[in-house]
Amino acid sequence: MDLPIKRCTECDEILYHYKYLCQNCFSDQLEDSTIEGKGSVYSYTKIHAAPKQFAQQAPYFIVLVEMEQGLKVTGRYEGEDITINDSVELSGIKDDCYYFKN
Amino acid sequence: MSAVSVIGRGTTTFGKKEDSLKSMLVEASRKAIIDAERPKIDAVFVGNFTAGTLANQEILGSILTNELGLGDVPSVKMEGACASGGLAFRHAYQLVKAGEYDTVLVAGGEKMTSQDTETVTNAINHAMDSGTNEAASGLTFPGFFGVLANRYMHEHGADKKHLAMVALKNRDYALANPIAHFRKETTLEDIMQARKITDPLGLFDCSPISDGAAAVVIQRGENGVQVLASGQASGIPVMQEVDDLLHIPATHQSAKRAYAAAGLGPEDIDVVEVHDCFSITEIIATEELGFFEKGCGWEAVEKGLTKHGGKVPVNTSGGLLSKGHPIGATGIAQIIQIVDQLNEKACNQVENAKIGLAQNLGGTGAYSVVHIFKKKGA
Repeated sequence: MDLPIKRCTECDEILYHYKYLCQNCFSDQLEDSTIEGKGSVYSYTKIHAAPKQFAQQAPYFIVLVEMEQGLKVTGRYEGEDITINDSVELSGIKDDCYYFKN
Repeated sequence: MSAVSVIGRGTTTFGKKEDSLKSMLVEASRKAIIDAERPKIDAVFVGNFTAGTLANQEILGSILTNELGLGDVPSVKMEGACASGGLAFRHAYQLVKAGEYDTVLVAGGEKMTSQDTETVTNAINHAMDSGTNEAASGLTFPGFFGVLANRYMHEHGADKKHLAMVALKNRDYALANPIAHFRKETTLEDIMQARKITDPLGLFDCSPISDGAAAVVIQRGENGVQVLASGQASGIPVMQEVDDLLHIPATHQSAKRAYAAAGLGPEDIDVVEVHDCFSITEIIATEELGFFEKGCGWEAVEKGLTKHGGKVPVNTSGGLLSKGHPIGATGIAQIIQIVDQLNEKACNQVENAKIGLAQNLGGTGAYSVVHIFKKKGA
């Protein structure tokens, strides 16, 4: 699936969806948009010690994904094993958490 | 602008303690003021991160000032996650240097062990930007450094053994430090086999949850170890927004500013305390501070260059990893180790140390502050 982003209507910069202004041109005229949800794993960790909110889900993989169209995105990987440079794509978003699969 | 010196120092022991945050701050401050021969104190700065969340207490400046009987002198608490202590010191130093105050007490403390680990992990997560999808992913504060460590090993060829060697060095140094949280010998094998926290980091790669406080008295003039310079920088508090994860730019920039202000460089530093919240963080810090080339910090550890007899002894106190990491106390405790080194009164004394440096990091690179010190009369 596609990844939600914000796009600056003044300078066309691609921004994270939670941004309030464009650091490139300082405009606050941002519109909701998307980019393709495909990327590769820049790095990862498997978290064993989690905060209360996530403790029941541990251990779980966190991946930092370099998207093909720009931006790095932190999310969950739900498979058994993962390594750097593996291709992944966005498979779902739940409670603002991004889930990736191979 | 005037010369400013550290004229007194005091600490509690670090570890799991019965004492309250207030009693620890009072103990460390009383010792520092007595060590300074009880000068008139003009202001009080306190570094702390989680008192509101974990100790149900704020207004630490006023509380400490009242307990010490210092009357109505100005006081404040400063927060910058794990850099809270270093930031409190920096702002006190600048006000003394500028002539606003003559003599200031700077204390730092944290009470952490009275809560369970999940609650503490949650509190420490406040050192990352919670208004992003990253916070919702379940990334933890140690998790950030796990992601960083995996990429570092991938790009530079280091392996888990090098992380363990950092942890072992700091554990060995802590054996001689009477305030250290951990004073039991361990082996590389124990470290490598320990419980996993966030792959590739195990228990010994992570600084512990500690209680403790530390305090110094600083004063205008040259009556002690002199503060030569202070440098501070901000960085990005969201992992996915960092351009190059293997750099911690705030560490680099804060050091660059401090070196420039002191007219010195990494080659002039005889002893250093860096912010080893995790084993990988010490390796990165030694690169960002200019002691080793980028990507070569792990080789320096392997060659013993970060110990006595190497290039520069790093974390002779045992560091956060083994001395312990009562968050607000850490920045002050690092400074105390450097001051002790330059006064020739330190554990793991470095011979002929004249110039020392302390680097204190907040969050995953959100803040960094660097101070450079000179031996009295050197």
